Amino acid sequence: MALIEKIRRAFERYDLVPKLKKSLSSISILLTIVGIVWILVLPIKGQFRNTYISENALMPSQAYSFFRESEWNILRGYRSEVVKLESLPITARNDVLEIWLKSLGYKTSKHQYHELHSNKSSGDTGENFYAIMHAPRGDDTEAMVLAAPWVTSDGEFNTGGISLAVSMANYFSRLSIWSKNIIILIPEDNKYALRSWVEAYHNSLDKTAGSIESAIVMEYPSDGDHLEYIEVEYEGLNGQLPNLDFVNCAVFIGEHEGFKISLQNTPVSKLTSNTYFDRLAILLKGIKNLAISGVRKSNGCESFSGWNIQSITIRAKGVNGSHDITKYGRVVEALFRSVNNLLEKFHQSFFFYLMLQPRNFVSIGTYLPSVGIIAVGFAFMSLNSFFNNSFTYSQMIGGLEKMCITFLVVIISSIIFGISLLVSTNHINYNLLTQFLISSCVLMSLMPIINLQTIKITAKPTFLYLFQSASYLYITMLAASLSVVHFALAFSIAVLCLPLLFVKVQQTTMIKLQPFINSIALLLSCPWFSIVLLYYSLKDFDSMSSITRNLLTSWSELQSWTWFVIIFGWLPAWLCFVITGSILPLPQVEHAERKKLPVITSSSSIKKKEK
Amino acid sequence: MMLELDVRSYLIIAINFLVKLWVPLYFSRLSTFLDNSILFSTFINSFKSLKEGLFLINKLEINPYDGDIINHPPLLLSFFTLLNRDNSDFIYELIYAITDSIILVKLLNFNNLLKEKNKNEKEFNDEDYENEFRNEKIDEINNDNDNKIRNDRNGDYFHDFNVVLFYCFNPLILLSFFSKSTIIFTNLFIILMLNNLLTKNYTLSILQLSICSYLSYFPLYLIFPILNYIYQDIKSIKKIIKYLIFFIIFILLLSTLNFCFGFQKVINNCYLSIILFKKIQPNLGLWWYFFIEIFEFFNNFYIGLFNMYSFIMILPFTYKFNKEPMISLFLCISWIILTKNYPVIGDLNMFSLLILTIGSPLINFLQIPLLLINIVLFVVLVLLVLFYYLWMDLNSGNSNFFYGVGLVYNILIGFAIIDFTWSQLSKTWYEENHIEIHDDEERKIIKLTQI
Repeated sequence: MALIEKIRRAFERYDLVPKLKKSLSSISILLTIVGIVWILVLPIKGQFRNTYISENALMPSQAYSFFRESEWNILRGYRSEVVKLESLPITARNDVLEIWLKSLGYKTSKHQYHELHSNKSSGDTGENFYAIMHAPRGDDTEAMVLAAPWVTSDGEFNTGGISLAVSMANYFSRLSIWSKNIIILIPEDNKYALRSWVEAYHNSLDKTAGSIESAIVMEYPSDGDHLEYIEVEYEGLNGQLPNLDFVNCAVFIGEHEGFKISLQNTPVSKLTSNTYFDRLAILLKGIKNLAISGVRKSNGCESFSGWNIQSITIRAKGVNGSHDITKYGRVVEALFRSVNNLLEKFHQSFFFYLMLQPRNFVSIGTYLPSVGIIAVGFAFMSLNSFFNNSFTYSQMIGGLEKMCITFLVVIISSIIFGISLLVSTNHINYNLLTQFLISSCVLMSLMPIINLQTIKITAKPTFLYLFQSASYLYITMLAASLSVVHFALAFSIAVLCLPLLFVKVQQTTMIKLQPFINSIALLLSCPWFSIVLLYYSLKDFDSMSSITRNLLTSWSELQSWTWFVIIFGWLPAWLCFVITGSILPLPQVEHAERKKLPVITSSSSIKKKEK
Repeated sequence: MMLELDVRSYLIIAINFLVKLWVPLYFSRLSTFLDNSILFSTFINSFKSLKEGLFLINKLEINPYDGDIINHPPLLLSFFTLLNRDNSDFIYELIYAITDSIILVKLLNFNNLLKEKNKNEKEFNDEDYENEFRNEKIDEINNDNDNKIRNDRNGDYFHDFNVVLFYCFNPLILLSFFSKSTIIFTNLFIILMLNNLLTKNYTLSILQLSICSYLSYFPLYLIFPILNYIYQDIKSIKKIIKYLIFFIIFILLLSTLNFCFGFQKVINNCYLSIILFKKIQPNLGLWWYFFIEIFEFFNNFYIGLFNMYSFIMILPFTYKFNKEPMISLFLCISWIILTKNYPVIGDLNMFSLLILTIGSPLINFLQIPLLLINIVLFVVLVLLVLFYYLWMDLNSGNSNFFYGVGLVYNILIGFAIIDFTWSQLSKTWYEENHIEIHDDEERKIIKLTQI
């Protein structure tokens, strides 16, 4: 206690408390800058770590892989048949697969599903095919999934993937080493069809093979024998990632077989270089892809997230490389054998990490502070709008009730808006909706100027300051609590909300530019503006309306709760700032002089009253 | 004593009753969901296990205490068996809604009794010092809107209407009610007991304390501050001993009910499971983390330590604040809430209700504003849910995260208790030294510091 007392007195002696209070806003801006720089520092040498296999039982590539030349002939045979299947309807294709896998001794089954948001011409039902091999040495409680969708995420026919899946099924059935069941899964596509199978597997399917430990999605669109390099995708939904050990195994095995590994769509020209900017690019792309998972086109493995399944997608890239298709098969085989070695579930390594290079990563403890610091910055801004005005503490607190009610109204109306859109996803014209959202965003962002010029809505200044303070606090809470489960989304929202730090209550004494600053800041940080931003910066999407559509349908299709974060957190916070930034404060009738705050005095200085 | 409330309050109380009756009936999934959450109920007060117990008694007609599933005391089971033989949902909801309303009415009553007592004491003091000082009269004018929350100046009690609002619209109280945790009955008896202390029905309040401790063991410790309370009033050791004997007799009488189900089994299931921390279940409290497998060889040590810990501050609080027996009760109850082994949000609600009533004169002396504590508490509760979800559902977090946030939650409560202790100490110091406290707009209180 004595030390704390000393510090307190030092604060008093140098008059630090009022000084700190004056500079709250600059401190908060400084903090947000530190938060962003924190992320930029991570790719510098010395800040990140090399990957390592944490679980000893995995032993990647320790066993010799036999998926070689003799299997290649089988593979070619299957492939020439698979090529013929392309023109057939899905049920006919699955019938052929069923005959093949039944003859290999697999237990086969088909899963019918209904499209929720159909835009296909073929109707609104689909069929997934899967086959189970019961483990010769296991207790039949755990399974590994090998999935190859008919259509890859780029929309191509997955010739190589399907034929590999069947020929590997053939190969696996001849090995006696398996202690976990193997499921060969051929879904119609890698988004909703795959997701609905995973959901049905855990809820309603009759033929199952125990809890799924790992899943590998194979995408090999070409019908040639060669490939250049492989790409590993690992982001799941809602900020979930597969265990780092599993990703490491894939990288380790791939490199052991001689492949170059590409993460986050790194082009082939960048695969050999390992500079600061390469690492930064992978890091930022990783954050971006994780944040918009569910909204962007599916990468396949994300369909498995939510049930403690470690899943990755391995994609073959290029057609003219020096590597052949059995090498690709050996990577998958070795991964299966690694997982097969496991005695426990994946638990050793990290579940939250950001990759910088296939062999470099940063763990959660290293990157989480960045969003924490930004959140603290918002909290300081909240204190700033509470204290740095001409009103006393009790005057400010007086408006608490009114503020709470307004705040609740804003949040509830935002939630009602969001939920009603979510309920009517099948009847919405997404073009119209997108236009409406963006135009409303622009209109509301212009409110500070419009209100000043024409409408002139006014409110008590204490209310405005208190409301602004609460809104900053709301963003702090949003960022801090979200960062624990979904760092990427929390970080993106916090960064996109940064312009809100410059929104100020309009006062006559302020500079003339303030309404314009408010408008620009509001526009930049609007959730709907980020749709525009996403469309023009990424070029992954056909149109802006497809982004809106994916945002709305990703809940019912994939259980991704990005939309809920927006309507519960981001949108209400933004609306609050529209209110504080545009409503004019009433001119103060009695301008209360801000008196000095009560000074802390030690007990010795208190003069006792004389009796 | 009849309550004198305005129409608004009556209206809100009535609506509150209806809402609490009908919402669980129509949204029974909400209750199940909350009941399964570790924040709102643990195995000793979960509604699900209560129903299981009733099913065992009524339908299967076997002794519910044969296994170790049922940890509700026989009194509660018999009470529900008597009132609700056909296991109808409506009767359950009715019982809960009535209990809730009684708590609210008794809380208002308690608040008014405190006000009255305070007024009497003030007048008494004023007469005492009349010749020496002119104590500033408390202006009871309920002047402007900004001060609506505070009824009158100089750190007194809240207006009835605010208490009603707080009780009916507090989300934690609502959620805790909808979870149908049986902690509500313990809370009911604590409120009744406090009421009867103020109206000087000491025998009744001792009876209620015994029911309370019978229901959830830890309130047993409160016998010390309560005996002190009675002693401060009647100043007779003989009578105190009489009340102590009453207490023991009541407890023994209640325990006779245990013989219907097999004495040893009931003791094992209802009390030893609490004292010896038999079921390791993650919760809001401080205990569970120390009983996980890797520390197994320390188990006995921790059981002794934590039981001692939950008792250790009872006597000091009673002794130090023996002239302010209500405050000592307040602090003892909060101490139990902090250190009990299976705390739920219902306990936190009890704490906030006590702050609202007994603690409200001290709010002005607090060093950390309650608003700040509440904001942090809100964040911590959100994080607790998130971390539990990470740990149990996603398997990507672990117990350390959850316990870490739980620790912050407990530190906050601990901070509040320390702060209230401090503010009571400084309040007495001001009064002893006859320093006027100007609680005007600028909150010009001379602040004391600890050296």
